[in-house]
Amino acid sequence: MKPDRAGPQRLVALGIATVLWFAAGGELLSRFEGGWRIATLKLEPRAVAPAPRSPDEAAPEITFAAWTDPAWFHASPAHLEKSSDPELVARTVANPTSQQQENYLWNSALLEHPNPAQVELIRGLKEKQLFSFPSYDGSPHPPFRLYPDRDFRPTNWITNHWGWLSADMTVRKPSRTIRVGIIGDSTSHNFYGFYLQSFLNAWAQARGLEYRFEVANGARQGLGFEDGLAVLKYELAPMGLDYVVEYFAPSFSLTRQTMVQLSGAGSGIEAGAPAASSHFPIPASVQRAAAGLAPYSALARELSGAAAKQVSNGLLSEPAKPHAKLRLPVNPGADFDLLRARRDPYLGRIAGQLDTFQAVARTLHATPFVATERVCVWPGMQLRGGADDRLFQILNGPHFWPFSYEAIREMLAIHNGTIAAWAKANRVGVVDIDGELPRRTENCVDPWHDNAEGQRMRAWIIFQTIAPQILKDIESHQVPRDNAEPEGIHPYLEKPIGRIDAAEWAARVSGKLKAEVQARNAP
Amino acid sequence: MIYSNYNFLLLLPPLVVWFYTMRSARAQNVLLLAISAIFLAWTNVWNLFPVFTLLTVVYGWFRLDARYKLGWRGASLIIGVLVAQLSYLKYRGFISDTFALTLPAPAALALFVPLGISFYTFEAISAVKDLSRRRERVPAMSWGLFIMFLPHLIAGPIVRWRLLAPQFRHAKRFQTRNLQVGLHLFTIGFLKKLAADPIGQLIDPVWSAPHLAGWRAVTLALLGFYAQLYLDFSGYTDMGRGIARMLGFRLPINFRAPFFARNPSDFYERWHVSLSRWIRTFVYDNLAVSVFRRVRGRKAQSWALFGVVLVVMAIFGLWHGSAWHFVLFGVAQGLVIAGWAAFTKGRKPRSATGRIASLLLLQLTWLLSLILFRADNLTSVGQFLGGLARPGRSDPALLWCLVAVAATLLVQAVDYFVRRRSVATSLRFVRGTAAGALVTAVVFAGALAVKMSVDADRIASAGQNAAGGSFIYFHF
Repeated sequence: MKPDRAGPQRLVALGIATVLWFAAGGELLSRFEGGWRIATLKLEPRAVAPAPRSPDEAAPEITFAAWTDPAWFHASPAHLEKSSDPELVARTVANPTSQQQENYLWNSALLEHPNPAQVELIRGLKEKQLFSFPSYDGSPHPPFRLYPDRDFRPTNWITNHWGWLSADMTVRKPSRTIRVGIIGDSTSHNFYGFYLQSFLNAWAQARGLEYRFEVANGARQGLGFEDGLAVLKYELAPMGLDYVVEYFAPSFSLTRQTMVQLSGAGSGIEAGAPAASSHFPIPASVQRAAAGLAPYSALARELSGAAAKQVSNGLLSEPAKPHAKLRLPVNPGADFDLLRARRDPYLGRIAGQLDTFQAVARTLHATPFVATERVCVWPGMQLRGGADDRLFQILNGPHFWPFSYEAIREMLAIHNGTIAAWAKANRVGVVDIDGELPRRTENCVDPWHDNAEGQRMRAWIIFQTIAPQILKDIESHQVPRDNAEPEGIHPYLEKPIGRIDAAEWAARVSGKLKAEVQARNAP
Repeated sequence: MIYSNYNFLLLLPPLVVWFYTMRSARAQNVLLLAISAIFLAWTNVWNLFPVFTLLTVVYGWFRLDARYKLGWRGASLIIGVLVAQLSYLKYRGFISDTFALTLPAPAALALFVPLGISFYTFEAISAVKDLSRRRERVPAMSWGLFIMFLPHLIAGPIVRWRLLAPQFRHAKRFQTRNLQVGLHLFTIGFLKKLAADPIGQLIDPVWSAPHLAGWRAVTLALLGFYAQLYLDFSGYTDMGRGIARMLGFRLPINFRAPFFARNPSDFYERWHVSLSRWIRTFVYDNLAVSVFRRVRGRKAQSWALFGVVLVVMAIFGLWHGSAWHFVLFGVAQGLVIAGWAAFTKGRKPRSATGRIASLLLLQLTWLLSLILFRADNLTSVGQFLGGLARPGRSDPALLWCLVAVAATLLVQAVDYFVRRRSVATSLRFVRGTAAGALVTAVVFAGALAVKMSVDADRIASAGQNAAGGSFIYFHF
């Protein structure tokens, strides 16, 4: 290979000129695309995005119906006082990363027939004893309850007498008391039950209704739909619910495989690789070298990695993703076709679950409410570097990769469209959480969970949706219903808490699992 | 990265300078190959995997064929391998959905359709067919560049071996005229792309929710796509041809004023010419000859030929995307071709009115076929057709689609008359002179300034990565 017409000197000069060209051009391009001023030595933003607002400013974005008083929204709900238990605290200290799983009361049926993942999880707890409760109906649903009457420090959970994050309440319904139940998962396992109870009682007082409200929040983290139904049938039903609200956000979190199929990529494929697949890796040494120049160079900021995908005003915009367009089985919008949705496996499952929920609620003589699901994502969304890093990582990580914010929204639109259309067809009230919850990333811990302010807003939306129905029912004397357990004793939750030797259990179930595997593999 | 991206615009000048600095053909080819590989890997490193597999497998076959005379059976086998790779990587989802099969895919390949795979697979097939007949020695470098040559890598034109490979044999010397003409072609393409992107932003909302739109919006969105598709694809091809010409290479023309076609056959001699010719040479001719050998009787042969046209055009449609609406697009075009031939029996309209009516009718059929092409799925096709009969207002901004159509027709009119009449002589002033180059450079700078201004607004409102634009044929 002959190198060059004018010899090596010219080649070197050309090489230097090329490097300078790319350095200068790359810097200009990075500044232009990154939203920085071009003609300043030190990086200065060209466009300034509005500063994120503080949570205190959240209220104005919530709509306040004419019959409400914003003061109710701001009032602090009653606080539940319980003592912490030294034994539980010691268990938590021994299992600092187990998120209180060491203190769960496990369903006895689950402990008898756990799957390998559950065995692995429970065996991983550094405990000599496991807590358990007798299965309600022989099934492993729900898989666990929380220890009752405890303050679970260092988490902010405080459980009532039944192990729920709710105010204390007796099984027998006090007179002129209306009860609202909540079933759901970790997105509901927080204090919004307290907020809801506070709003309802403030409203009742202001309106001169001689009723009081109690909210029983049976939600807990990781529950699936079957678990939620078991909670409703066995834990909440004896309390005599007048209304029950369901919210299962994680059902949407499980949609990625469906989205993969709808995108036409076919079945049987695994998650793609985010980011790394679309950009050349930058060596750590280059990143370190570039970090020092970052205040002066947009290119250096990108190379250093710290500011990757971060624009000058501190906002994180959606990274480039491969094209993955969804071919939706049904069109979202006003003419949502529920029959068509029912034929789709994914949407049909949602509709089927809602059918079951309604049937169970009706059996209990409680009025059901369903809720649309919120995922904290929308097209063109900008996240705050640092504060929203977790949200950014999840939305642009393997969980949703390679689907764009717009595609996730499209999927959510048919998901929620199914819920809304089902509710309309079945004349069930629908709480439009996704439609009414302000689109503020400041209130999102991750795509599904709210911070305290978000929980308050969510409770307010539920309150404003169910209160008119409650008023109508009160006026027609349909509530409060006399449907609580007549004996005044909870048939399931008052049984003593069991204690099981963890080592003995582990040995037993491991042997059982091993035998099952051998039996399956036997010719 | 696409040719109209800032990244590429930054890369192009050093590429041209370095290319002409290299003295030997070999050095120039190595540089081009390296840059082409970087270009392909820019969005996803995995894009290199199928192209390297193809290069290796087919080159191995060339060597074996030269030594052992493997003949048509060997060629058929290697073509089968190429088609299998294309089917798996591009049509995996379509096959899975259609036949309820589960085709496993490694995590890295999930949702991944390699860039340009349809283009370079077809080029490889044509090379295997051509070279298996001629037993020509295939230099590895020429073979690699024939497939990976940057200016036609991801969007064609689909070239034949004999047209491109000889151009890699000799070192290119710098010629001002090549640079001028190349810049001219590149600028025309850049302007077309600049016009196509905003049309897409106008019409995409209508196409994504046709059930919400009335007849005005739907009609304007259809007309907008009619203009966008031409501007986008022909613009990108022009840019590719311009880059090639700057480097001293010539690529064949791919669009020749298609909206002035007189009949469907003429249309496909003007629209995506290289694909039409490939399909005709390697699919239609073989099938038609085979059918004619087996079927006796003129009427039966006519019907058989009709079937062949439908099948061939269905393949043409499927080439564009792995979905049934693309297949139906091809079938619809097949019906137009066959129906036109049956109705006119090869006669040309004699009067000017007849010619204009024929031209308008053809464009109408093309326009309606585009519903099948652009819709997201068959449901959307139905909704879009329903929208044509639904009353409703439209966003006034959509009226820009009419301007886009007018501009497209104007561009094609210039294209049409320049090639037919002596206007070409006058245009040489622009294409081959220093003054012409200056005009082109000023126009290009102006177009770039417009693009940067639009992108700056977009960045301010939507953040990084909002700049740039997309390329419709990227998805094919």
